[in-house]
Amino acid sequence: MPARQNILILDDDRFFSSLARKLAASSGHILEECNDPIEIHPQKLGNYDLVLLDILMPGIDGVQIIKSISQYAPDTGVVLVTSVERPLIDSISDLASELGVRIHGVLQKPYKAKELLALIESNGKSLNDNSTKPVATNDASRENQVKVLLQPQVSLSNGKWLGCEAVVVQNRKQNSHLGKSTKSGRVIASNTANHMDIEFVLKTLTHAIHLIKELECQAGRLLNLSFLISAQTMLHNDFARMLVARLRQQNFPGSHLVLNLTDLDHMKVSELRLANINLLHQAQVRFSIKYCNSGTNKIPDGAGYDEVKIDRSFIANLRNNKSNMELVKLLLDRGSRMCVPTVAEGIDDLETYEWLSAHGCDIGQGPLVGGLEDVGGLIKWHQSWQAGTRIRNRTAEKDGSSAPDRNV
Amino acid sequence: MTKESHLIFDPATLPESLEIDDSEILQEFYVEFLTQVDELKRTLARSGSAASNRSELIILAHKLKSSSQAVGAWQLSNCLKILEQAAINNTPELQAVFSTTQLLIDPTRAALLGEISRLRRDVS
Repeated sequence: MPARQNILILDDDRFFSSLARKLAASSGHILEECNDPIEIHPQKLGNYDLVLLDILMPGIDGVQIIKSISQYAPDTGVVLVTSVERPLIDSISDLASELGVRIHGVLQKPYKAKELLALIESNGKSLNDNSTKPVATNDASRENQVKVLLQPQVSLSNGKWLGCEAVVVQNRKQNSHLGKSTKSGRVIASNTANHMDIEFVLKTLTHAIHLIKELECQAGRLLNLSFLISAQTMLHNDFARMLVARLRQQNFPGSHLVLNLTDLDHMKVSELRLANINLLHQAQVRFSIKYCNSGTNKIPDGAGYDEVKIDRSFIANLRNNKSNMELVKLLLDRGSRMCVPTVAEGIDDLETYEWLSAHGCDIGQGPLVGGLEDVGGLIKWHQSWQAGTRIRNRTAEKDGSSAPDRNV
Repeated sequence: MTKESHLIFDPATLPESLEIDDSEILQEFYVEFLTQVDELKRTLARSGSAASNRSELIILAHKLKSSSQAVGAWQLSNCLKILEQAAINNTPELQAVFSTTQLLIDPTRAALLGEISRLRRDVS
């Protein structure tokens, strides 16, 4: 049984929009009609798996919609529905490709029912093949799909919200090949699990950028995005070029992106494709190297990294583990000497937060600061973080006592 | 040009393209199309002459040329294609095509209404 798709038809011709809705409904899909595309909120385009787009409409043309899809719904497929001549369709298709929009097909009006249904079904297949469509619904039929959530990162010196780490999760309560289960039944689908699938990496990254941009108003500025990525991905010939193109399409400055390289223990740093590193550095993209038990256990010199990240395994119980404490001090000292910021993850109590702050750690994240959230959750988080209630509540939860007020 | 293109209305066109013979659904599509034909009739009547309202004519002709072909209103569809181009290019034939389109509306409406009545009888 093909998965149900959310489809939007943008067509000023009610005859064809009504025809498409009835045909799609007969195959179990949900099709929303919009006969006046000016009413469409570009931000909502990401809610659809497929947009059936009439190229020529009064007041707005298909090109404007394609630009909005590129910006707000990079994973949404588009079927051009039109009665215009082929050369115009080709030039619009070319433009869409340049913008990174997936043109799934062209329907020439008047079209036959089977032509429309075949395109809808093949779109569903391509979505399932990629398994990368981030969804915002709790629809049971979609619970196996993956989506991107963000965890806030703050300055440990003044509590300012600096950015977020993107984490890919899969909503299903069973074992997954993608990663480990959490208490909520969610599965952390490591961003690096499909490191050889460049499209997967780019799609999830594109979606994460989209989310971080949505938070700009709430934060009062564009936040940084930290994105976990396998070092092996960097070996792909075209990765950097494709990534830089995506950043340009999304109008996202490279200086706000930190690629957190993992799997460095499986390869020598020198094996990293220098062309990729150089191209990304030219685009001002920064690299972070994580110090952890299971992965990188020594920080390489001269690898061109711009940030040192300390794994949660060293931060949890930091105050009760002397050797970890010494190690973290060494790493913080190393970051300071190399003039690169240090990031501690897994901060779970106020004492650790304050110890790290006192020892010069620049950035922190973890349960005390904030968990994995979608955009709505992060807006609420920020309000409670600014009010200081987040730390008070978290501390009270942990030890049953009231914590000191902290002005962040 | 197909053999059907000389017909005012071909009742086989829509069921064939949708691959359905459900009288109720077909009826709904014809009624929807009839609404558009009425809109065209009003616009043409309001315009008086083709030259006075070219931009609206282009939009309407562009929209209806496909739906009229979809329902099998072949003559109207062909005429609207010519009207759209004539209005875009503002050619000397524009007024003549405008008048021909006006003349085609009523027979097309009558044929559609006849088909809708037949389908209603099928349903009941």
